[in-house]
Amino acid sequence: MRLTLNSRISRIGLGALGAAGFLTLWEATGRNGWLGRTFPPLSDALQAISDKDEVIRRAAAATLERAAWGYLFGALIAISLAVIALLVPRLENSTYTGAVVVHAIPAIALGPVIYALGWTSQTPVLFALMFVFFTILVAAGAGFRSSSESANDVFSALGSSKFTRFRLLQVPTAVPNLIDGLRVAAPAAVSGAVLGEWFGVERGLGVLLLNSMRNFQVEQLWAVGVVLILLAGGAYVLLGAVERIVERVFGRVVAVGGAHTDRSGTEQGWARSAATQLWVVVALIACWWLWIEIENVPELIAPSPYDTLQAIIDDPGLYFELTLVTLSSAIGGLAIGLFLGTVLALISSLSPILRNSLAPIVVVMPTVPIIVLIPLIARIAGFSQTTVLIVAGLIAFFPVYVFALSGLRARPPGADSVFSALGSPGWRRITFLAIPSAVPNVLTGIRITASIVFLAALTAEWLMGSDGLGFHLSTRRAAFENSEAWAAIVFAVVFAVITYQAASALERWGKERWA
Amino acid sequence: MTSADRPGDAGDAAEANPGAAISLIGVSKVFEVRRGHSVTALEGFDLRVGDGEFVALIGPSGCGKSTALRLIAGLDIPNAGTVLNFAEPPHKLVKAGGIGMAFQDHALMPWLSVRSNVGLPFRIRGEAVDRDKVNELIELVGLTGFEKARPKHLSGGMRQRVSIARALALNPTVLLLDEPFGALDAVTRRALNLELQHLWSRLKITTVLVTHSVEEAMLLSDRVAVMSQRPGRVILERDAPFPRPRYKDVSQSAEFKALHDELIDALDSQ
Repeated sequence: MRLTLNSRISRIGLGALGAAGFLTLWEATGRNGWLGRTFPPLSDALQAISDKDEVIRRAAAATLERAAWGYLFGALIAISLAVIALLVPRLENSTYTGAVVVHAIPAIALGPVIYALGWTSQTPVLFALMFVFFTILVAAGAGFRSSSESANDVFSALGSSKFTRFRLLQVPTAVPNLIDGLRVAAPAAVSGAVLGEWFGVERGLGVLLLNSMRNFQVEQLWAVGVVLILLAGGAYVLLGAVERIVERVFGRVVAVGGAHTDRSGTEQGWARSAATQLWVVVALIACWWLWIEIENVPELIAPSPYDTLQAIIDDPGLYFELTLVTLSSAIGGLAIGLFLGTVLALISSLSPILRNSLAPIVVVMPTVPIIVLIPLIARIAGFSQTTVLIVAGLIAFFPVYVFALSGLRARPPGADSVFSALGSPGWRRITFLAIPSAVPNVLTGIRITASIVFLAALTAEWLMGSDGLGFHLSTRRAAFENSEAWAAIVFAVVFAVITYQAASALERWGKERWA
Repeated sequence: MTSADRPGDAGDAAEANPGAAISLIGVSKVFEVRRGHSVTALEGFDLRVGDGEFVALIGPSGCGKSTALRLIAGLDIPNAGTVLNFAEPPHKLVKAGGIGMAFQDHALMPWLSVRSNVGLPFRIRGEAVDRDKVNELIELVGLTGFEKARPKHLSGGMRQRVSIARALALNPTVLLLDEPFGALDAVTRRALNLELQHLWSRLKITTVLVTHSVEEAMLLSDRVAVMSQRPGRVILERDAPFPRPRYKDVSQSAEFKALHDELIDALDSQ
């Protein structure tokens, strides 16, 4: 029995069964209306795709073009920064710390800023850029540093110049990691472009998605959703093929669980990175002020830092309350995702049947742009804070599941034999061995998810919530109360950065304690 | 050895200071592990290696053997004491491309073929790759026919041969071997020991070998230096005066066994 379960054929069979089960469940749920009239069967959504063929194709072309430009510019900027950080070690720390801050800034909060700058038509490209930039930077940076110490010694012992080492050693070593980063970032470019399209462009899948939601065109809404999933997945699969070819020549990807955080591992590094972060924030505010002063921007377009501060001082309690609402949704969703993800991972680690059946869904899920499917979820769960919670939970669930499962299965070498030799019962092996060895992995999952969950909560509130920073941002902006809207932006940015830093600190602590 | 054509090379310096190709005098090396925590790898470390001499360095794990090698290669700078290669600071020899180095983890570039890996030192130094030299070295280490193979298609022993061929590509004046056979199985290791003997007998390069194996040290070297626990220094030096080539019969002789016991005792005495 055990043998057949582990064989390749049964794995594929179970995978196909799992995928078929998932699709059947989707169809049945729609047919029988288990989730209400706003959850159509898969076949209706597919029918709608072919009915609206022309409209969807034009929208998809527009969205893909924006995603591609954002992806291209994001990749170029990220790779250039990684190269600069590598060749000028003095700039390394500030580059990565600055990038962490920028990465934690929720794109949605920048919508009004981009509008104020007069770049509204480029919002989708800029969001796509922001969504891919950090992943590629981290992958490239880790790749450049993944060459072994002795390979570096070979170059040093021959008196190699910095540039020769870069060209002959660091660039080729970085290729697998870089391609991996490019692959992981590809679906995010699509998400970013769609999110950007919600800020007022003429055509695109994002526009179609919002209009379908508002006009209650459920089949079309789901049709666009399915197309988006296929596009994001397609980009991922395409680059996956490239990656396999590259791996054959350059070797495998070196696993790096967020290399950038390792830099601030020591006490000294921590204080220094905090100082750099403060510096980035000061620089951002200075740019803002200078822009208002030099360009003489009227308040109707963008308030000055002073006006914004005034708005906060007028009613500081309000902004902290709003922040609390958004943070509760984000953390609540994270907690739900954490709980369900861990439990399912635990069951999967014990049951090869379940694990293999879920495998195809687990492969597909990271490419599903959940954040842009908010309109679909809103149609099912209503325009309320519940939807915000569900979105945050859905986003946290899969990374946690994947990281927890790999953590549960990666026990210290030989540890299993120790338990067997002592005749330990199975459950004790789980509580004393599997769970503790999974903790650092789960914490990495949380850190990776933290900023996207915060962004998701904010976006959901902005689109259809009834409370929180995102809701405040959208209503104040609609009322042309720009100082209040920008005050919400400031709070969103600051607390997004704090959330990410807290998650990183938690991960560092967990790795110190359990790994 | 055909190294006379390389600039800044051994030739005249060695004549000015006969018999001392490498000298480490009163060398200390301290590493800062974390803020406020440091480890003294070497302290009062003395070692001299004559021109064309093969010295083996043995000692307990973590005693600083590799650190000594890295100091000779100019990869690290000592906190105290002097390191000289042919009466000059190490970076001079590094600049002249006079150092060949091989490591336990072979450090081959996985994206390059055997031929390109062996020719890599030329490219690192911005010189035209000497194809004849590369082919000659590949033949010398017995890998003819594998020129186009990539490292992952080779066995552990074959990778080490490529690594040694690469170390020899620029006709180095000093060859530094950091446990090159440490990761190999016993049979492969013995075979490569024999091959390295033949190779060295032809080239007679000044060589320092770091190893854990007392027998390997005695089979290959002219002189064995035993190091103490950390902080490492040389506590015993013995010549290995056995006629080359050293086959099984040499290692079964009474003199060999006596020296073996003496070195083992020195290692165990700490």
